[in-house]
Amino acid sequence: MNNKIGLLVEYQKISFGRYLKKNKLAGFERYLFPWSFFVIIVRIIVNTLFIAGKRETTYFFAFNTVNFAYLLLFWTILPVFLTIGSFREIHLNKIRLQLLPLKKMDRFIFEYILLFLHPFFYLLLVVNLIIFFPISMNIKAFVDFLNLVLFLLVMISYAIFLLNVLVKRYHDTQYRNIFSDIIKLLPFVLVVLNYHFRIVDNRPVLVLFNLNFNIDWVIDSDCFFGTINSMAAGIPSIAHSLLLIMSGSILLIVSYYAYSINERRPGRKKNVIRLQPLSKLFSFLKEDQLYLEYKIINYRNYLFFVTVLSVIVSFFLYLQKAVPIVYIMVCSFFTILVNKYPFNSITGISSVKRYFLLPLSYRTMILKKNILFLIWITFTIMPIIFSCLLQKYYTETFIISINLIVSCLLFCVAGNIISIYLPSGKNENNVALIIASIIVVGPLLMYYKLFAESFIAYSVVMICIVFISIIIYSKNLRDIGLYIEKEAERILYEQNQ
Amino acid sequence: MLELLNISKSFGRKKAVNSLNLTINDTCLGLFGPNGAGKSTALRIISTLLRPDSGDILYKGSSIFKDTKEWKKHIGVLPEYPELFENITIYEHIDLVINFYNIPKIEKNRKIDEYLEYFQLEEFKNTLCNVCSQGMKKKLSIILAFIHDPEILILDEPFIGLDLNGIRSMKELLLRSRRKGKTVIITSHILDLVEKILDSVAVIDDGKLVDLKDIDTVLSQCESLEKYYFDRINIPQAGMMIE
Repeated sequence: MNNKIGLLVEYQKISFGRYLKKNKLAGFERYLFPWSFFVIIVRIIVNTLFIAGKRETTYFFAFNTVNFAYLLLFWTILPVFLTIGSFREIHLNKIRLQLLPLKKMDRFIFEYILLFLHPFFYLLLVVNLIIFFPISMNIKAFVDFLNLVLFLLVMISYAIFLLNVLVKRYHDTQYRNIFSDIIKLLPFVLVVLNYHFRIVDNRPVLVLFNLNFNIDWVIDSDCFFGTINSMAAGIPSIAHSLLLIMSGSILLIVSYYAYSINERRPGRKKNVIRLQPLSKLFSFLKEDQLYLEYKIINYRNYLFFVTVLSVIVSFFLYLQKAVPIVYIMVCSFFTILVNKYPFNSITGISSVKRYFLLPLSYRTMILKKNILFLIWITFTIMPIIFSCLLQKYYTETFIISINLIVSCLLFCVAGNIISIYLPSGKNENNVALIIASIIVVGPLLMYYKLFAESFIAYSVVMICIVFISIIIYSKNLRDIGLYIEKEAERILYEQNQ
Repeated sequence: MLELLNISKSFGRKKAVNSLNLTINDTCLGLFGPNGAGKSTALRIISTLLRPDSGDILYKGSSIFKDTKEWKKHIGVLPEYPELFENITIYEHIDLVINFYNIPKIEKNRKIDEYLEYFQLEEFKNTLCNVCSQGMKKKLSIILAFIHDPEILILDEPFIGLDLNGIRSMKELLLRSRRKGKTVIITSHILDLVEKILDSVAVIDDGKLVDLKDIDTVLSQCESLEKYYFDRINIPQAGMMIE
């Protein structure tokens, strides 16, 4: 690090210190958000792999390796990148930084040094390290306790975030973006939360972070599916009812605010939240689809509408003592609807070169959208698979077909993420596809092998995956990607006016 | 000498700059054109904030894109918007930027005081940028462009947002730079203001260079810079549209 970066870091420390002084807990929840989401994902992935792993010991070692890679990725690398993305935007002026006589690499180093300025980073690092290495230390109880602390921190961060958003800091663009993301994520976060409340002797037990990495790497799958089993057995649970009512209420309040905030007049300096009459709720029905894509106001009305429906339907189903799989499927269905637009904005920038010309904040946003999409898949489709497994509804064909969809989508997202980081070139999308196939299909190969008994079935599945992925992927690039591309063009054009 | 060789830049299907060729030789050049003509894009390319799709820019015979760090030492850029750090004071901003150039410490302090006084920002020097007025931000941005005494000044709309005092100071600063023989590239829509500062005028429309003349020729041919401009740009004047 040369003196000039040191100087920049010094000034950023000053700047950040002032920012923290002014906004006491600022940044705190930003670290926890990505963390909380990925913690949940890791749990699901690890469970999935272990359930699969238990069936055939030959693959045990391979699964451990894959697990470790996923853990490392989801617990450390992705949260850090996500956090930096939203975090550095507050404290940096990218153009001013670009105007300084600094090498590109120096600028890059500086931007990433910023992360280490936040005291909370160190806290998470320590917690992570302890959770990562309990094997030799054999301190299971302590790790459990830490998991619980982490869970509580996540919950507190949600509360802080909602307070910030709803009470005082909504005018902050950063929050506006995160806010809309959170709304999109809420339905499946709540679905997943349901999984993690285990009913033991009619008492709810929190097992959300009960991710114990013991020497034999075995995770009690009953913890994970406890709720589903309880529900399937028809055990009436006050905790579950409360959770459902609570989650429904939160969803309604949050989406109603989103719906109201939208109606603010653009160009106003202070964004006053004005609650709008519900009669406007159906206004989105009058708009045609293309128009909707460019009108966030209508999009949010739409979101609110879907959320309301989702809550009502799921609650109705619950009251009717419907089997949990129906509840989950309904939730998933509405989650898909809610996330229709994020799906449309999955990175489809056909030219990598163009991607890099976008402002950094926009690039971060695109990447974030891809990751959100990945989360969405994990939370919507995976539960169906698990449910099928546990409810003994599953047949091999069904599992394969569901997994086929999942892998295609994963493949598509991975391809997109990779394509934006590839150097510019004519065949960039093909290269992305190849790399994506190595990254995604590799672990999936092991995964499917366990479900498909015959080699032919297995081969057919794999061929299908590749073909369907290519179709989805290219469609994604050409059609869906047009939206982002148009947006990008508009932003760049406006920037250069 | 700064040479723009066949510079092109597109955003999607829109060609913002289209095969722009321009040679700027230690003069004060005014870059004019309607909104969206490609002026700011051209300046952003010269500032290396953007890379051209094709073409090159040569400074003293070598491409500026080869060593952008070195190039940035030679230029002072006033972006269209102030582009400042939020939680840093005016003084700290100048101190931060000036430290990137090899200026002796005594000289640094003298320069900072001199510029703060010149733009009447002394009493606000400890004010955080996020509470500064637009005018103050603009003045600070101007100081940041001039503080290291660069050989080339790239100024995008330097008069926008300034009060009358600020405009006068800015004008004086430009005349001083001109006297020192610096290369200045300005974009502005206030033609009356820049008329007396410029050595030459370039008109850009639709990303292309429409005309390039020295100011004496322009003023001998037309009664004013404004008249010259409207003769070159094919749009009706506001007064002609509403009768």
